[in-house]
Amino acid sequence: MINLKKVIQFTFVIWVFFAGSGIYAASCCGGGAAGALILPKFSRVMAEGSLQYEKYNGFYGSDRAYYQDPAGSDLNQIRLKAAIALRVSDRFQMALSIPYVWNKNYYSGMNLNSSGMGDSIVSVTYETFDDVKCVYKVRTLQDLMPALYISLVNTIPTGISPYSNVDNSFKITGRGFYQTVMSTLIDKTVYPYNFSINGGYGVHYGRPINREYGVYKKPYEKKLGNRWNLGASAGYTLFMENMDLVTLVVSYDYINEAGARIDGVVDHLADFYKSSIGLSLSYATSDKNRVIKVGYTLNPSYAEWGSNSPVTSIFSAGVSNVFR
Amino acid sequence: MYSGKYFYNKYFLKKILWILTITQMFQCANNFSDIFPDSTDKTGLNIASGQAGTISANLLVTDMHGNQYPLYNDLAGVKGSVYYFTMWCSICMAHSGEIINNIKPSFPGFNYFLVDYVSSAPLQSKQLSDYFGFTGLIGVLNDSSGSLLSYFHATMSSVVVIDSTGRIQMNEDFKDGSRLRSILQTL
Repeated sequence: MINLKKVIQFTFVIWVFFAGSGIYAASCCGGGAAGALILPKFSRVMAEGSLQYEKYNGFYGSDRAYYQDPAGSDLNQIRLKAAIALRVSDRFQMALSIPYVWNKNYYSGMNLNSSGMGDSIVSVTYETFDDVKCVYKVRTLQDLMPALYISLVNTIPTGISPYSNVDNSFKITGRGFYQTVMSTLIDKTVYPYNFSINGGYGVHYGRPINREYGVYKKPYEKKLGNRWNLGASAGYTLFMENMDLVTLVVSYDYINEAGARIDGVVDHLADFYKSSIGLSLSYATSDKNRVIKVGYTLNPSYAEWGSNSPVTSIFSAGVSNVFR
Repeated sequence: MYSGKYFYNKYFLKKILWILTITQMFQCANNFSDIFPDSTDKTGLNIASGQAGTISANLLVTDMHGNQYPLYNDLAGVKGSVYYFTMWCSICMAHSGEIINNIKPSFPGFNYFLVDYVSSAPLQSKQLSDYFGFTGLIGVLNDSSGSLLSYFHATMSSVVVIDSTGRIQMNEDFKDGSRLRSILQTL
């Protein structure tokens, strides 16, 4: 039986701890990334708290070249996320993730801090398997079967967008659009090795707009472009003497979004893509109920790694707890 | 076999959702307008200065060489002026390139300017213009005082068009540039 009090206390402690952070940060491009929180098999509830610090290091132009930000500028965004995943049935689970975003922009001629809620994520995930797919030794072909997760990840525009009642782009914490991403994750662990592949295709839903940065405009329809992403990771797990696990993972991700449609006409100036590489280190208790994770992801400051998008590096730290 | 019983425990759901959502809603209660988007034309409610349909103030502007002059000087002898507000970001660069490479050649007879509102001095605007290869292709203004930014309630990728009489014909996000083209077409 799950200890309800523990679940609530854990979630609350994470929230209060991170919410108390006095750090501020910023971005001109909004915050929040879509991703489903995955609950391990045979677990009923998982609570997760994470903190991401994203530093902007220039951008990829539409010519795919890398450009530096103006000299003396310092652009940062910090995102605190509280998330919870619940098992609905043997194979279905759902999750909710709510971020809070701090923006901090410094240019030589301007200094602006702001904060606000980011776009929230609600996801439903289906597991195509009934038993744990992590094995210690491959004895039969069956042991090579990976875990396959299929998720519907929905973004709810709870953040501050250009269409909210704000006066400038430095205060943006969300994109202002509903989005649904169909994503899949194929994951296989044969200790001590782990491999995963993920991919997704997302659609934004169109909406009317009658205000830009706090000033009413002639209404028009806008729909952000469809997006797809692909990623892969490889990891190695080290078993401690007490059977706690330390896992190092390297990853690569690619994301591409088509231009938005404005009153039905495609805006090709708005399409973008970018690639990122990441490294993460996690520590899990032997029962795998508690995981502490730190990570670093970056977009390389070289041409061809992206187009029409900011170049950033992200430091992240998080802790999750499973209640079985 | 998991029964799903726990999922229906109202006590559990209520507690979690209250902690995760209501706490945050206290801090950002006014930013849910995107949940239920509004399609109503409310332009008549605007009280902001520098909006389309009004006559622009003759503001003092500064170019990237440090020269100061009244904004109306830009309107003399031309059909009008186009001001694009840039913070030298990726989308700003895409829009600036579109103005320089496609719109400006298609609509001669106008003055075109980038308004740099994030640099503290004209020299820095000049350096950025040089870095991005814009010098000589388009005028660059330095708005370190924020006078243009605040008067037009502008921000990243705002575009303002003022005709030769000083009337503001457009003040909105650049989007894909088609609205800018249609405005210039009419002048």
